[in-house]
Parts: sequence; C-alpha cells; structure tokens
Amino acid sequence: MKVFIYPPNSMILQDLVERFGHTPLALAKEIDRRVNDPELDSPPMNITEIDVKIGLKYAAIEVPSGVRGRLALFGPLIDEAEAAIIVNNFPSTFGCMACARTNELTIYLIKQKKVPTLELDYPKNEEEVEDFVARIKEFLEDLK
Amino acid sequence: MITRMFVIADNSSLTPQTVVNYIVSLGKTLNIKDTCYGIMVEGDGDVVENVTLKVRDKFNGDIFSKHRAYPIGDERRCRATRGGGARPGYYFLIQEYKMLPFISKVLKEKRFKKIDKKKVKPVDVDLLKKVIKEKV
Amino acid sequence: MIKIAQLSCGNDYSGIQKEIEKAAETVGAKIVFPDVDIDFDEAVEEFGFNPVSAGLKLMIARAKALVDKSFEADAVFIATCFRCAEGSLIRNELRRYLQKHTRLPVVMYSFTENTRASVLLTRMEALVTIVKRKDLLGRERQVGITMGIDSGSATTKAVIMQENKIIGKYWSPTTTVIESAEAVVKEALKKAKMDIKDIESIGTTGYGRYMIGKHFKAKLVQEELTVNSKGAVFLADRQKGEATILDIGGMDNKAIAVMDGIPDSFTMGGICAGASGRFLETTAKRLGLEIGEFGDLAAKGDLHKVPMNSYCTVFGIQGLVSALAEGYNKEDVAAAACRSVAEQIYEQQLQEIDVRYPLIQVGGTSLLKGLVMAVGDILKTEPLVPPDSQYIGAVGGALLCSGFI
Repeated sequence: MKVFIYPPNSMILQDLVERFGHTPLALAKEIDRRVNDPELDSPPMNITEIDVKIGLKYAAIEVPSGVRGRLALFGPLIDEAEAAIIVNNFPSTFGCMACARTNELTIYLIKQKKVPTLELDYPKNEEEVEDFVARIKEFLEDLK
Repeated sequence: MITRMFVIADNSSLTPQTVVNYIVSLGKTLNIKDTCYGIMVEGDGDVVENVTLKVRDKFNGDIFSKHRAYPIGDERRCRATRGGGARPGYYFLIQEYKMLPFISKVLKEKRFKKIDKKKVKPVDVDLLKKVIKEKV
Repeated sequence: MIKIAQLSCGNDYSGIQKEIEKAAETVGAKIVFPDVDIDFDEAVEEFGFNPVSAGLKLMIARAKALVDKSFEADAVFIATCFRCAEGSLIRNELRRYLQKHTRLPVVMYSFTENTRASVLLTRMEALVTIVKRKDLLGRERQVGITMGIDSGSATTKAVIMQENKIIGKYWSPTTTVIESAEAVVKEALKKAKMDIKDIESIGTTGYGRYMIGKHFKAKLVQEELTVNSKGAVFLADRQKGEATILDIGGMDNKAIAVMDGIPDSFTMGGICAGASGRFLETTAKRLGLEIGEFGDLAAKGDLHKVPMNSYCTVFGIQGLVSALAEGYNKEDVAAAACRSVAEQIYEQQLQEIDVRYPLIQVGGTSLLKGLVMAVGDILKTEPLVPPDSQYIGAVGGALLCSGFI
C-alpha cells in the first residue's frame, strides 16, 4: 500500500515503511521529479509560479505563497495516500517542515481522507523508540 | 535516474567502504559516493531500488535509506556554492541520525514492545484548591 | 564582493529564490546564508520569541549568528511570505534586534510568488551603496559647482549648487527620459546663469538615472533611496541623528529610517495607486481643481468628516464624488482624500520601518498642505517639510557628486 508519511522527508519513516513491505509516499521523489527536469529553472527547488498556483487546489489564494508552494509538493502525495503515519512533536530542526501552518493543513488534509492512520509522538528516549518502532511495525503489518 | 542515501547507525561497526564493496560486487552500473554518514547511490530507478533491498537484507538494522531529491554533488544544495548555511534537510538528517542507534537495536534484537502511554491530564481542580489552602 | 545575508522563510517554496539572487548579482552582491548550530532552539530561547514555524526559528538563529559575529556579512535582507502573520512578527522583531546590536544595513520584504528581481533591485542596490560608499554618504557639505538630476517616474528635476547653496533649479513632468532631463537642465542652467561646461560634477538618481547618467557623463549614478535621504537631511538641516524620510511619490512611496543621514532600513511600495500622489491628482481632477489648489483646500477641511469605504482610485474616488452629491463640502472631501492616502501609507509602509522623529516629508506631494496635515494627524507629529522639498533627489545628487571633484 502507498503510505503517506509525516514528516514527508523523514528517513526513518521512509525506511521503516519499506522495511515492512509498503511504498512510502516520500517527499524526495516529488522534488526529484522537479529538480531533474531540464525544462525548469527556478533553483533550488524548481518550484515555479505555476506550482504555487497548483497549491490553490489545497489552499485559498489568501494563503501565503510559501504554504501553497509546499502544498503543491505535499498535495499530490496526500491524494495518492492509502494509509498514513503521522509523527507529532518532532524537533524544530526537521528541515523541510519549516512552516507550521502548512504542517497543520497537511495533517488535516490527510485526516480528511479517512484512510488508516497511525499517529505517534516523536520518541524521547530508548523505551519510547521501542514503542515507536513496535507500533509502526504492527500498523504496517495490519495493512496487508 | 534516482538517488538514494544510505546512512549507517552510529553504534554500528559497519563502514561505508564495506557497503561500497558489497554494492560493487553486485556488478551493477551505479554512481557511488561515500560520505561521513554512509554512502549515496545513483542510477536507474529499478537498479537502485533492487540494490536497496539487497543492502537492507545484508546489513539489516545497521543501515537506513531514503530517496534524495538532488543528484550527487548538485550545486543548488551545495554549501560552498550556496554561500554558507546548511541545506534545509541537513539539520533534519542529523536529528534522525541521533536516533538511529536506538532504532537499529530494536530492529536487530527484534524488541518490538509497546508501552502503555496515558495522556497526562491537568491536575484536578479540587486537589489544586486543597494544596493552595494548605500552603497559603 | 558585498555579502548580503538572507534571513527568510518560504522563499524556496514560493519559487522566488532565483529572483532574489538575480537582484543581488545585478548590483554586484552575493546572497549568503549564515551558518548556525544544529541546536538553534537555544538561539530562539535567548532571543525570547518562540515562533511555531521552524523556518522562523532558523531565521532567528541566523540573525543571532550575525549579532555574535560568528558569521560575517555586510548587509541583511529579511523576507517572509506576504500575509503570514507569524512571519511578519518575526521579520520586524529581527530587524529591530539587528539594528540594536549591529551596524548592518537592513532591508525587509514580504513576497508573493509573483515577486520579480526588478522589484528587489533598488533595495539591493541601496544596501550595496550603503556598504560601498559609506565615506561618500558621510558628506555633509557641497563644494564647487555641481548638478544633480532626478529622473523620476512623474517628474524630472535638476538642481545646480555652488558652495553649499542652490543657485538654479527646475522641474517638469517626465515625458521621455532624455528630453525631459535636457529641458530641465537647460532651464536650471539659465537660472544659475551658467553653461554646462561650468559644471564640475554631475550626479543622477531616480528611475532614469542610468540613461541620463550616460547621456550627461555623470560622475555619480546612484539609486534614490540613499540620494534622497542625503538630500532630505541636508535641506531639513537634520544631518546628525535620527529621522524618518517620507516621500509619497507619483508611482511609489519611500519611507526611509536614517541615522546621520544614512538609511539603515527602508521600505518602498508601488502596489497601489490609491496610496500614491496619483490618487490625489485624480481626485483633484474630479473636483475640477489644480493639484496645488487641491492641497490648500484640503488643509481647510476636516480630515475625519467624510466617511470613505475604499482606498481604491476607482471606488474610493467614486465614493468622494458621491459624498459631494450628499452635501459634504469640497474642503472636507479633499481632506478625506488626503486622509485616505496617509492611512494606507501608515498601514502598508510605515509599519515596516522603525518610525523615528522628526518625520521629514519630501517630494512633490509634500507641497500639498492637506496631505502633510493628514500624515501628521495619523502619526501624531508635525512633519517637517524642508524648503525645496520636491528637489531632494536632485539636491542629494548635487551634494554627493561634489565628492568626485
């Protein structure tokens, strides 16, 4: 099954989803498609004005351009999702997930899809890591 | 053409060179670069995905992998050409890197144990009243 | 190479990073990103404002790196998405923080996906000028015989100065850049009783600065933010200390905060005709008045009597005309138009800079008494309108280019 992961750039989530036999809907693939397109030239992400307008499908025109641009990337992944794993309270240094408003909307949109969803907190110690992996494993195995 | 990052858990004795040697032994046409945290592999989609499965089989919980959007050495994300300041994904990778030893241990020892987590509720107002009465 | 440190959030995802870098490159600068420690939560804690968005936290950490001098840069560009409340709070507080703890010139911008390099160009150029020409900008006295030409979007102005005094000046509406400049130069020379050969140095500024700079072989070709600041503090005799210069132009407005005549933060806006001199010009026409008469009439009116529902040049003015039909008098309607422009400038532009006193109001619109009163009313101050306030660009040009004699 195609599993949307949040944060969508998480290596651990992508790895675990693959390890337990599913396809992660990872952000890198979405960005990859753009940055390796020789037709586009809007570095560094090759997000263009057109992309930001595509974001209108998910958020109104009055929403800041950065939110719409991000949704142009996350939106298609959400559309494809057959299941989702959401990790809350991750450290603020989590790279591409820099906009809190986008993050809130992304989680809302995935919940609106009503696909099987696992919600977890970012682990804070070894014991919680064990629980974190165990819950992800169980969730993914139950999806089969 | 896709790129994948392979990151070795910090507590593992596995070296990037061992992983490189193993991938080379598979005899596929790939571009491989070793880094401080592991390696990057670039090549045709099917080949890279297939190699990922084999690497995971071979090294199990010692190594983790994700897709990387930018090709190896891409100037758009290179710190030198960007004028300082790490690329946005860097800080994130470091955060996850710190957690890998624990995940690695769980996977290798197959210790998939859930803990009962109860939501912490705010303290009961009566209790609060009682404490205030006692203290003030 | 001048290094401009970029503190921003949302730029990559709005697809405008290339435009920012292009604008910087055009003026010979390079955009750089301060390196920060992975645990930038510490920097956030020390700063004392903890936004939810990680991108804004990173901006704070980067600003701190500049304050701590762990990362070197010559100027700072702060940008966040237009309409992001959290972003604009951080943008403003970081600007204050940097100005309090460093001497770095700062410029801010809130962008949309449509932001182009051309919009950012004057801002970047001003940052570069402030860094590169710090000594020249320190000049407070004009020497020799020099001429300044300000080729603006609405009018072209020329001023001839000799030994720190204006001896010839002329302005006319801009039709074609070169022809208008030639005409005003000719008249200014006539007034000064001089020939172009007598002029020792020429400085140009304004939209047409490059074209006329080449045409007149100018020794100084400089953007209007720094030149106007110098001209304004010179004419207002406020060369030392703090001030805010407000120039409500024909097409765009400038609000510049200065210290000793050198800008350290500024904002330019050209997004709405309703916040410019054009609004008043159009209103005057609808009222059947000359623009000068309009300004005097507005000064006699009550700024708050006529209700206005829109700042728009189309709808707002229609509302004013309807007010006349409802029986309001012309003075109050003209005053309401001035209030409308002043309010929009206050809401859109003055919020972006640290308003420092005195407020020096300049440019052609500073001759409109009603508008100056409206600005004063909203800011609860009495704006200072220096003599020859419409010539600040040309005076600044003449003053600065005397440094090249």
